[in-house]
Amino acid sequence: MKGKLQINSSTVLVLFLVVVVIGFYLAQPTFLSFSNMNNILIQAAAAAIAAVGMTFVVLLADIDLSVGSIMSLSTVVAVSLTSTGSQFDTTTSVWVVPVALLVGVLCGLANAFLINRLKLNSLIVTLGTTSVFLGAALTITQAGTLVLSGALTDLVALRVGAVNLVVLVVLVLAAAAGLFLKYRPNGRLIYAVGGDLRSAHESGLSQAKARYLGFGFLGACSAIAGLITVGQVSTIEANLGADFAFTVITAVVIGGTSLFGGRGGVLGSVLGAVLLATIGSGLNAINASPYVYDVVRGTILILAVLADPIISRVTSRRALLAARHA
Amino acid sequence: MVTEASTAAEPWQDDNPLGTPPPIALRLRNISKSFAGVTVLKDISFEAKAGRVLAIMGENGAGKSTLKNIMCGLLAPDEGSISVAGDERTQLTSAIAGQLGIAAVHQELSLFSNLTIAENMFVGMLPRDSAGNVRLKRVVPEASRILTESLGERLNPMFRVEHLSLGQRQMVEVAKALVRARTVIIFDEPTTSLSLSERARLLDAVKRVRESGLAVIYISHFLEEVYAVSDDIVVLRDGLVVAGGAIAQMPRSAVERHMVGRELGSLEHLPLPASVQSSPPLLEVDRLSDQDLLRDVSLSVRPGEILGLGGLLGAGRSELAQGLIGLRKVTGSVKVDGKPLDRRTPQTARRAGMVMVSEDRRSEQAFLDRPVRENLLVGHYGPADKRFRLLSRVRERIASSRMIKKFGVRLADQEQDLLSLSGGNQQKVIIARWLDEKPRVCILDEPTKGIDVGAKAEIHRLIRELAEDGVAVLLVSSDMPELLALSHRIVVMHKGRNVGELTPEEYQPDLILRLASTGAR
Amino acid sequence: MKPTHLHLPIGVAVAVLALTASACGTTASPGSSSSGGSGGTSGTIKVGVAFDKMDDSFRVGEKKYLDQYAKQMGIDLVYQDAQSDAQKQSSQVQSFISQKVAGIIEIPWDTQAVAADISAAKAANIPLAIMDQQPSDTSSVYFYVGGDPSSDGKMAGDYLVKSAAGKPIKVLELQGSLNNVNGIERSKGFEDAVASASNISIVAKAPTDWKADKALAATQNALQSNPDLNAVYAPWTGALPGIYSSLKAAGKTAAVADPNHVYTMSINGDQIGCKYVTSGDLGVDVATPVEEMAKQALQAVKDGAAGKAPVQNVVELPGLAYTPADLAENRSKVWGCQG
Repeated sequence: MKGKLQINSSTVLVLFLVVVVIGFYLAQPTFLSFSNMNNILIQAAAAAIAAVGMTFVVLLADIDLSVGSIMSLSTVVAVSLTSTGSQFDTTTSVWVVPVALLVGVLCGLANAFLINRLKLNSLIVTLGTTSVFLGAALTITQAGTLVLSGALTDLVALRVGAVNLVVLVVLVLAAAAGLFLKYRPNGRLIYAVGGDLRSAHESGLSQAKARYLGFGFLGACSAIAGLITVGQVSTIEANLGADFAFTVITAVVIGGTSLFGGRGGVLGSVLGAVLLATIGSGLNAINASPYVYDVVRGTILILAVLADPIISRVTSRRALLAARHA
Repeated sequence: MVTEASTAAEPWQDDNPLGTPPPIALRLRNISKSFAGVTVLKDISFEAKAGRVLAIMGENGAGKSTLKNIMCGLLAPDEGSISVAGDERTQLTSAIAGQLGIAAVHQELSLFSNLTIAENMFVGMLPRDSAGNVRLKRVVPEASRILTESLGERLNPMFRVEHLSLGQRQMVEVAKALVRARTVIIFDEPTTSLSLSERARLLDAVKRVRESGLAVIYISHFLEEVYAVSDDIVVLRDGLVVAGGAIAQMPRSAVERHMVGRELGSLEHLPLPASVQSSPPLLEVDRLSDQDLLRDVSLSVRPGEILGLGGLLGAGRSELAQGLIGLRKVTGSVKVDGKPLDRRTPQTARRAGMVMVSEDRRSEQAFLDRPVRENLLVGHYGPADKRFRLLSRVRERIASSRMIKKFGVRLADQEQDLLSLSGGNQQKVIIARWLDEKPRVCILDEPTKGIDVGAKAEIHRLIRELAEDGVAVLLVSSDMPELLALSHRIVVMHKGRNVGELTPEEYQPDLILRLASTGAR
Repeated sequence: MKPTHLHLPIGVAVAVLALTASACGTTASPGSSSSGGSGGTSGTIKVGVAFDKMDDSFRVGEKKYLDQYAKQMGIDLVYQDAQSDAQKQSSQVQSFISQKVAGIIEIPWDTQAVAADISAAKAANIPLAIMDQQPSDTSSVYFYVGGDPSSDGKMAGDYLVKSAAGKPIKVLELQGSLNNVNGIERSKGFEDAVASASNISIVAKAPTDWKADKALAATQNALQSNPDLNAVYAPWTGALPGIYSSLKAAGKTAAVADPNHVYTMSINGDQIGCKYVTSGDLGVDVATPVEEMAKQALQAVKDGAAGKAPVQNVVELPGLAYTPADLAENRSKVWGCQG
């Protein structure tokens, strides 16, 4: 298997991405320009970062529906606590970043705590915390809109050379997360617990610890995603994360991480988020209705879920043959 | 307790004329264990020596698993001590056992299919560099060495376990144990699910492991394997050591006798009534086969006859039962009362008059947290069932009271959860459920497994009554006395085949055991 | 002993906690009171207000004026937030009816489904005043007061035609929600106004569900496809901050006099709009007469409770278009510029 191009979900995804880009380019030549590609990466950034965090949770065979609400709550609390000015002229300071991260992590740890202690399915628990976190955010803002300026909006607009800071954050975060999963013992713990829970128990590995790690990290990622979104749009509405969980989970699934746990990685999730943003942008470029985007997103998700066993059977057969002839 | 140990020259003196005995790696002294008042192990003592294979043999229920768990530190004994290389302890924990260098290859595989072989072998002890990062590649040479040298398996340690066959996975489990074993390695029924060639490779591996100087404990009920690899043997029966010593000094027949020998008198054998002997068969099975286990099994059962199905674990008896009732895809024909029954499902089988009480009643048929009344009547609610149009709770209660009385179920109230009943009474409820509607053919798969003696007798009575009522009974049982006493005829299965049919004159435990473990008389 | 049995009560407890927390965050703000029976406290009447959503600066403005005038008129208001869910709103209106309130004011989420609420209130003889979103069928409505989205959109379009004065214009038309009469009409009004101007072409059109992030993405994408884009129409002011940051990132911040200036038009008249008109960024903002709307709605239910029928049962109040140029004189009439 060394040296041969591995056919797995990530390669299929990249292939698909190339096809999509070419398709939109043919329909609208301005699509394939450096600034547009940069544009797409910026639009994908929030979902990509949250998808990196979600990968950890899905690897554990869990799921977190509350990412959108954590996004809201962490940014709302951080902006309220660290900014000055009035509702429609809020000046943010750099402190908004650490505060949002802290709130995000706490929300994630709360999720893990409830799932571990109540011994309930993560789907059910995070369904509940989605409302709880959102409710808290709405209470703080009293349902009003804040208009932002200052450090946060500046940071989000910052470019480092030809590339946006935000895009660099995605790359650095994804790389760090990927290395963590591969080389740190706690990263291997996540794969083991997600792969076979019974064997993990028998080997003395702790599912509870893995969950605190995964959900806590996802909470931090959600907070960063929230800061990026809010910084771009320059407004905060408490409900900004409403549809977010679906996009993020779709990105993770089409990126090849299995919902049953133990298989997958962050590279696929980032590519998934980029693919979704590319499609969204492309549809905009050809002036299609955004409702088409929802249909396309859902269809891709179904196709990805259907294709996964086929892809894994192909890789399995090749590996089995290789194993037999070792 | 009788120990048939040789009093002649010690066996190791044959290999070692200079007379130094191999060191004792593991010694058990007077180990006893009880669960809820039932004695499972009594006064067990034996020694396992380094560089030799000690086989522990016994039937199901003899106490082998409990003994293994005590040796690995998963259970603490009530009495007795365990010494490892002279270090004597009254109990172990799995951590301490690990420190003492004891490792086990358990029956149920405990592998991560999504991880590589190397990672599985070194789980919990992954190699790290100075920065604390996991560097799996570092153990690849050692993993390869263990796999090829000790086990003869040419597998790339960087392959994922999910791509391996069952036999290869078993080898990985062995490799995993070898990484951790420094004094003793225990194999617990390692060949149960292996094919013939995989089994041969495993036995080779066991021999290689012995050469490395570890003490090997090999738990099995397969005679031919034990005789192929072992040096010494200990036989357990009903929680006691009934025989022990060097394998060279112990003929197979003696081992068979020790394993099974127990009072058969408690249950007398009843002959088949003459009327039955001349009736045409009610159940005819012709060349039943499936993809992996069953091979051309044919048998027949007459009305009022109890056909006992004997054989070892993995012989395919439960699979045969499942194939008959429609829970497993099989080829071949099945006829009930002369009428062929194709495309069977449990429902169609039931309509044709054939029911099955399955082996694992807890997972397959019992609704433990539902009331006894529901468990009794489940399946009787459909409109297709003309006999029971149960529309009111009152009628349900009347019907279930009748069944409880008829089958002698002991309980306080039919509304209590099934879980609160004893195992024996739970089994009676399940049996009652299926038998109350007077089937024509009844398949019973290990009906008294795990049930206390008193309830066992009552269930035997029920089975006899069933036959007296003209039902054709197929009884799968691993309990030798039960099989011998209840069956009018016995069919023995071995590796998916029908290898012999015995009439009551031929009922001898060691013959049956030999058929079951080797397939030949 | 049976761990599964523990799940249900705990699950219920979590759900209840969640619902309570979210309810606390969205219903009755401290400002309103919900005291006493249907008669309210001495002399005041109790009126239920069913908002379709509350996380919107426009709604915040509507609430402010409702509270202000309710106090003057001796009305106790009880608020409910349907969180953009038509069924929720319907049941909230139902519970107002069963509480026998003196009157109900509703901003409907679903302008077709609101017909059920209208007939229910009629059957119970409770005056129901619909505000802001016109029901698709107004034949049996007791009272409706709202803006005139069609004329608002037209005003924005007229501004563009006038300011462009023949210059070639490529405009991005952002649309609100297309299943919503305000969204549809604001779009149509604008399109009708610019249809006759041959120098103006709508190069991109995008529905945004009234969501600022969708508006942002649409603006960014439109700038990519049409680098010479020089006008953006946003039918609500919430989209503006994001639009301006995209324009800034694209370097399109030229002032009005400059030939590279990007014209922006919006509707609402709230604080955000006022802010940007004041700073000169926003070319025109059409202020919906929220104050008047609230006043009329309250008056209608008050009259209804006393047995009087309203003079006219469908009232469409035209908006006021104000620009940086006439800000000084119009300021006092724009609700978003107050306080």
